[in-house]
Amino acid sequence: MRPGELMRAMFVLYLVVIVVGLVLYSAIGLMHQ
Amino acid sequence: MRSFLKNNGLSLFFLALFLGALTGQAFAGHAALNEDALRHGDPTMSMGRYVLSSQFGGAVLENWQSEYLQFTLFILTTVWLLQRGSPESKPLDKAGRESDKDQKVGRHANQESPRWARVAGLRRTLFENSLLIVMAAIWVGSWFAQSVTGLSQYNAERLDHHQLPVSWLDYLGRADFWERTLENWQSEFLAVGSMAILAVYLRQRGSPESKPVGAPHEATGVEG
Repeated sequence: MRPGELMRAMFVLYLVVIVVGLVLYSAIGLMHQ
Repeated sequence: MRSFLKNNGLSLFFLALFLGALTGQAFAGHAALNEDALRHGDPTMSMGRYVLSSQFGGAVLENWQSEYLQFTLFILTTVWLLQRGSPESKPLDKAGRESDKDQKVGRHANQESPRWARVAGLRRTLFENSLLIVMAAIWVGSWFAQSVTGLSQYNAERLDHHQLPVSWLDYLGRADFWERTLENWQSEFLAVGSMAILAVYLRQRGSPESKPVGAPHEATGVEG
């Protein structure tokens, strides 16, 4: 992969970590209602 | 491989720190919860269940929301608000959204500009504000997650004390929700304000968060 593609992969990785955290714990909180 | 590490050192280092701290939080939180359960003669919880619990999720997300609020506000307010002498501020004559020429958009874009900076209309408006939009969306999302995980813990405690559970909207007006929110906000606001003003007179050689060591205290918007 070229440097630009690796940089983009890092950008996507961060977004994935954040979205997984938000969705997972929102779902857990909502399920426990 | 070496150039990958060099080119992405900052994001890799903080991702590793984040995962390490999150793991540490899970172990410490799990131990504290079970210590408390044993003291009260309640059943203990497995690590797997704890990591997927509202207790752990709420503790993680209430800190996320305040961090993302901090960056959202910082991105937004630094468009218009200035701090004389601070490297965190723009130069004093640059307050506002600046001209298309300054921002290299539309016909002022160059060959290397992102495509959405060269076009007009909705796509450019979105791209012009994309950092703020995404940071604000993460803030709102994590604040929502904090509210539902907090509600789940709050209602569990109420049931333990033979009280009726409250609704989500009701919980948003409760002291518990606001204490968990504001205890995180206050530290973020102090940290941002102090960073803006301390960096007027203090320096860190080599850091882009500081002015160059020899820059005068009056110099505004200069990064080292």
